[in-house]
Amino acid sequence: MNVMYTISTWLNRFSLILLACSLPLWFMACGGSDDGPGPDPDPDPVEDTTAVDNGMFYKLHRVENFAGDTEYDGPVDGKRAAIYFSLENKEGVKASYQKSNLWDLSFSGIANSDIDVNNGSVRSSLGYGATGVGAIYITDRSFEEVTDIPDESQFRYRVSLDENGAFGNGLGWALYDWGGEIVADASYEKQHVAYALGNPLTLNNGKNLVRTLVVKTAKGYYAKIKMISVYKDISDPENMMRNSTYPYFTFEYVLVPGDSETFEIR
Amino acid sequence: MSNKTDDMKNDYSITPYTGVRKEQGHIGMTLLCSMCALLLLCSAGCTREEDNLIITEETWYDTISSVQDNRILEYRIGNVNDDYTIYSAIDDSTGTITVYLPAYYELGVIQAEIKLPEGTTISPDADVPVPVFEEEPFVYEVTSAEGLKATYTVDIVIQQEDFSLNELSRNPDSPVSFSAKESYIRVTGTNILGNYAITRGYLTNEAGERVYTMGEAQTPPTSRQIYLSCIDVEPGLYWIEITSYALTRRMENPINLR
Repeated sequence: MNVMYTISTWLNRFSLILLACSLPLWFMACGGSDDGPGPDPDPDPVEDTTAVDNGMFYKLHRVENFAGDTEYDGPVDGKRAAIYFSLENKEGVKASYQKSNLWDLSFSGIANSDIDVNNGSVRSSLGYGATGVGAIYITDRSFEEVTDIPDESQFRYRVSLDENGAFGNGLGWALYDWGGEIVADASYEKQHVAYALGNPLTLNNGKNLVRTLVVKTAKGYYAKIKMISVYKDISDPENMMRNSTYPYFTFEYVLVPGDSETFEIR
Repeated sequence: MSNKTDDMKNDYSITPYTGVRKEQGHIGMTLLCSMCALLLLCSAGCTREEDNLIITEETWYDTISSVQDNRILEYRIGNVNDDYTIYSAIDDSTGTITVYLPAYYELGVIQAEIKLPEGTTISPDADVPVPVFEEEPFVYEVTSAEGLKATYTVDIVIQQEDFSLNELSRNPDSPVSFSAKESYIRVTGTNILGNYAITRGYLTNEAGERVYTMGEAQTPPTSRQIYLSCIDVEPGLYWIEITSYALTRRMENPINLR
């Protein structure tokens, strides 16, 4: 009886061992399918990236006679079609690119005098709904004096005419001399002249005005801009007359990467 | 018989021997079951392994080895500031990318974001904007690292709700008049896309030919109205036509510029 009991106990243990051993065998058998032979699975896709033209950075660029809406034939105070400029590519951009991050400045409104930036989150921006992150800041310091990139909180989204002239409101990038007496001698030829304020301009009242724009571009770079003229082939304020051809924008700028803290020319 | 059965029952149930037999019988059954289970599981496992290997190998060779890298993995619209992404449908067999584009984004170009297999290149570059309104189809050529090429044609399907215009002249025999020298005309309707970059007004002649492009006005356009200017237009009867993104509508009744 004891012998039989001992045998039965060993058999019982053996059966348990067999069961215990069978589980890993089963898992191994099933697990084999996961590690089975075959080619590697689909490789991780590589996202296509857009190259940045670093050659545009740290240089002084000059743009001459960038044409506004010159087909406009309405009244002087009529609204002209917006035009678009890419600081990154130093060229005008077609209106069909409005909802893209391929432009940085738009010139719209009366005589294309409203300068807006491309910001997809700002309803007043023509780039609203797209992916631009642009902003703009204006200061009464000269182009050369502006070396630091301002704090983000100082930026806004539109710059227009200066408060020292007609239709102005706050600091503006240009002064509109309606009667010709703010800057000049009030003669007929000097009436209705707009002066860009990138270079210092002395008013008849003795004020000396200068304005510099700092722009955060649609892709997040920074540029400082000196607006020089709105008249075709004319940069000297002495030669700006009411019948001078406009709007043709001449300006200079320096572009730096988005992580910069200062403007440098190398 | 019944007594014997009862005795046997008693024997089986109370005697150590029968008890052992009972245990022996249980162990035997357990052992047998274990052996069977082991064999069954092993054989089942092996069978599954073979099945899995066959299926897996077939699947992998069918889906990976036969598909080359001269293809586009993903294509989406990148110039939309929205909470969700608009992916496009890629058909490798026909070489088409179907872009479903809601009109309310007002896109004139598509800045595509494209994913390619590693080593594959694409021409034109992915950062070249794709015109939404263009006669010629936009075609990409992708080239795998092995040099295999494939072409994909972009097919843009614009999803735009129809818009309507309200007639300025209710009676065609008595058209409403505006100054031919300078007029700012308010055009009303529904579902107009309020953006001067994509919504334009034209004066057309009776034959439907566009003879004058109307200008913008100071008042911003909305979905229900748009102001358009006419400066120094030849006096006469004109039919206003509005193009709002992909759609064009023309008034049935003329206006009189004089």
